Amino acid sequence: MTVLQIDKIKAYYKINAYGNQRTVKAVDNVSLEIEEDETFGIAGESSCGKSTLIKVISGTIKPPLTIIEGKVIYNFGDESIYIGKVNGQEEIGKVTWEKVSYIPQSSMSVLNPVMKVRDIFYDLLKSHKKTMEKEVFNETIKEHLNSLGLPIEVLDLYPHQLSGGMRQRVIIALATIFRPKVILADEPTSALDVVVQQSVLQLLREIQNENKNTLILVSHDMSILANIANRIGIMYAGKIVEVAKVKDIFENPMHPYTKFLINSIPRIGDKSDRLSIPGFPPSLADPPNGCRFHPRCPYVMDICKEKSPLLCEVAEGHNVACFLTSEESEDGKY
Amino acid sequence: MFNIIKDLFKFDGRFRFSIITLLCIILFSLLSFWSPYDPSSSYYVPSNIPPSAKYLFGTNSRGQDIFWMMTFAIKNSLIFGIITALLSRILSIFVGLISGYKGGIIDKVLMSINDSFIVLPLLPILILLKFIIGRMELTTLALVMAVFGWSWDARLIRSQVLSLRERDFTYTSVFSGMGTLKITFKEYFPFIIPIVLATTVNNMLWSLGMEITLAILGLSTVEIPTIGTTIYWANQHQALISGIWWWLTFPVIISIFLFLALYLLSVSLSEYLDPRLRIQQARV
Amino acid sequence: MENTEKLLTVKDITKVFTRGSLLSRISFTAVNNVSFEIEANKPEIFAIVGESGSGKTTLARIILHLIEPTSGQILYRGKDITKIKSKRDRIEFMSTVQPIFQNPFETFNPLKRVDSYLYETALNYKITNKSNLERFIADILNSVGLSIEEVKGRYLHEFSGGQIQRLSVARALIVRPSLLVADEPVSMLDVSLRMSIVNLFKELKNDQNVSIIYITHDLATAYYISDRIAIMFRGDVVELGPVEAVLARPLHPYTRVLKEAVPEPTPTQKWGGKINFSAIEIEEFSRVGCKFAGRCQSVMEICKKAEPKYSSVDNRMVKCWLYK
Repeated sequence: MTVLQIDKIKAYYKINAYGNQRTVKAVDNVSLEIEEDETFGIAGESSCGKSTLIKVISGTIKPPLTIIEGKVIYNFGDESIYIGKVNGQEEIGKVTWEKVSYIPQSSMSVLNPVMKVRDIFYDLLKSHKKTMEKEVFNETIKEHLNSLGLPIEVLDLYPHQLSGGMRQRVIIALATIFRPKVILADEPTSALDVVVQQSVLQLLREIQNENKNTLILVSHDMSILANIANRIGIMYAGKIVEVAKVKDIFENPMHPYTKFLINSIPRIGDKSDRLSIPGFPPSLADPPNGCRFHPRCPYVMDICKEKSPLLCEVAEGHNVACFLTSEESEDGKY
Repeated sequence: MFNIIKDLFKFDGRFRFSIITLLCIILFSLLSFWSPYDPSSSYYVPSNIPPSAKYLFGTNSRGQDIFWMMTFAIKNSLIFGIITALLSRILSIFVGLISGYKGGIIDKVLMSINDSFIVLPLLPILILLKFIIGRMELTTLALVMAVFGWSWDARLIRSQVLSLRERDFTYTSVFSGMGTLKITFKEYFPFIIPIVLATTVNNMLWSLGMEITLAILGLSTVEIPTIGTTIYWANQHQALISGIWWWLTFPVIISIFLFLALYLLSVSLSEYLDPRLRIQQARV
Repeated sequence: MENTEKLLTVKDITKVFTRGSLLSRISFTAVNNVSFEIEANKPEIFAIVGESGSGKTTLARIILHLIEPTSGQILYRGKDITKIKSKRDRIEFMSTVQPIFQNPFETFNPLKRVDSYLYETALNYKITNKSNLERFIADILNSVGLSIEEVKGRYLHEFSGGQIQRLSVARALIVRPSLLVADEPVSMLDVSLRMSIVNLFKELKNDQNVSIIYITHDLATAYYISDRIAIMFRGDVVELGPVEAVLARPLHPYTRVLKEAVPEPTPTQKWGGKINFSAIEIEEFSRVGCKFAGRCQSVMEICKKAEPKYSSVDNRMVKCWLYK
């Protein structure tokens, strides 16, 4: 069942400072369908718009970020949440932690440094389940920490007393205590060491396996996604350029950018030369005309400079936006 | 430089207001050069005449034309404020930068001196000086105020420098062969400009306010027309009770506008110049 | 006569940090008795790999003379850097070693034009005279893959992270150093951009005879470019040797753990096993005996009591009781 449907979302930052007006097209016509019981990875370089996409999906849309077009619909069977533009008006449905939770990149900026971990949990529980008793709180928290393999001792500590990995795991505990249907993780391990990273990602994988919910993981590190995702969407300059099952992405990448990405990953045991991607990612305020990758693409054709290719199905479960594989272009204006 | 002023003028209402107001006030004070009357003379016009076409601001009990007196008063007050602010800026920048970057003994010594100045009570010392020196020129008073006005800001600048010292670009400068003085003045200066600007205007506000306070208490040289001394004389002649409201009103209104303009200027300038804001605007 | 002078000798360097006031002091050893050497005239890339808290950044700062060690010696071509007092000595030292920092957006002052650093360096070290300055800078920029047109007059925020790291390398190369100390130079860049900087380092070693100390937590790039590698854990160098040997057949248990934790970019080979470790890092620092004993699969009684000594095994150094 499709639990999250992203339909032609355009979300731009409109910045007006001292007369200079800039529009940053962070998410430009993105459509995705994400299923229940899957781990969906969104991969891309920094400033490709993936963090903005997460903001839009999680409903934290504040000026200067505005939705220009499109909609995001959560479908939980009995209820649904709608985020989008209706008749020129932005409508942002209430996205609660019980259904959709969020794991941010930097753990320190999320945990209140003057509250003990136990109090942070109370805070969370109080704001969602106002009628719970303190004893019931305590039991719920302890049970949850046990099920995740976290020591109960952390409850009495302050965030700065914990190591980075432990903090991140506390945040994961916070994010999963209500057993949400969708978990959004924005680069959850990029600030962590490789050994800690392994443990945090394994924890996420376990949670997803046990609860059969949806995990959407954003990362610039393809190796992480190889180990944990079922499907991957590659994002470039505000657009999704390829979506496929993880095996297909690595063994049969079709978009030139994806090919570059896969080939630039170093591996232990292989000292052969690796090529990096030529050129630099474009500015989202002033993206190139036509296909946004065309200035760096070795297979560029004339049509790529004028029209932007449409993301369409090229093989089973494998969608690509490239004129090499299909003739369709995006209709309408950017 | 002009681009900054143009931008700010167009888009920041506060800046517009403050620049226009300040320009008016400065122009007003420049009129003093065309004054038909000598500021130290008195009883040259009929006393206590309310504002009219002939006497725009009226006349006071000492027989002076308030309009022309005010031009001198504003000019003197402005000069006083500017001298104090400039001198104390120079001191505070120098001390703050050197102390912050060098650290060690130099820092300890400079900061001890600095803290002593913070702790010294200003008003009693000024009263004492008044008795010792007697008649103090405005410029002398400005110097004294400058000596007292640098210490708070020196500490502010020093703490900014302390944090800048640990940043990687300081090391890059060291490895580029730059010496201490070059690093503090070329690298750190742009970061402390917002603080310096904000504190300059603060300093002006403080010194003007002090001047007014001293004058009202009769502690400054009351023959020199300044905003403060005007109010002093008005009080001496019980202007409010006698109904000569125009003697007090005009200095008070002008000072309100002056203070407001200075404050808004500092706020809008430092917001514009704040490095974080500038960096944020450019990168999204 | 053979030149047996080493470019860099790090000898028994220890750094102890103390925190706290007169009444309660906590001290912890960030770097514990580290020694290694870099040859002159034989350029190599020497990787120092460790997680956060391993002491690698502290070690880098000591080598760059930005921090004083608590004990031990650092010798550049035989000269002790703690004896550097005069400006002339400093300039000589800095012409031998230059840093590359981790965060590209902190490396330069965001309020200054970036090219000013290039001009400063060239003039301060008297590398060239004013008439040749422009051309010299243009050549240096070309050698790192940048052009003077794209750099001139620009400010920091107009560049991407990768470009700034290249600029950083260009600035360092102006003085023709023999050694670059690069502290996590690519960890703030996207994985796809890392390759370009890392390839640049390879070029520098091969074409310009520059040795590089490459500090990172990323085993994959370390493997890709380095010749020798040192693995650090909580202040100790636990294994040191040629990179192929150390990573293909790791001897120290920590090296094994580290290697296994690196995600393979192959979807068919997923991680196995589970990792558990302490909640609080400080615990591990103040442990008696081998610091890794708490997590080690092959821990023995002696590991908890005494710090292991270095043994030479199979052309490498290992600090572990398993190899006595």
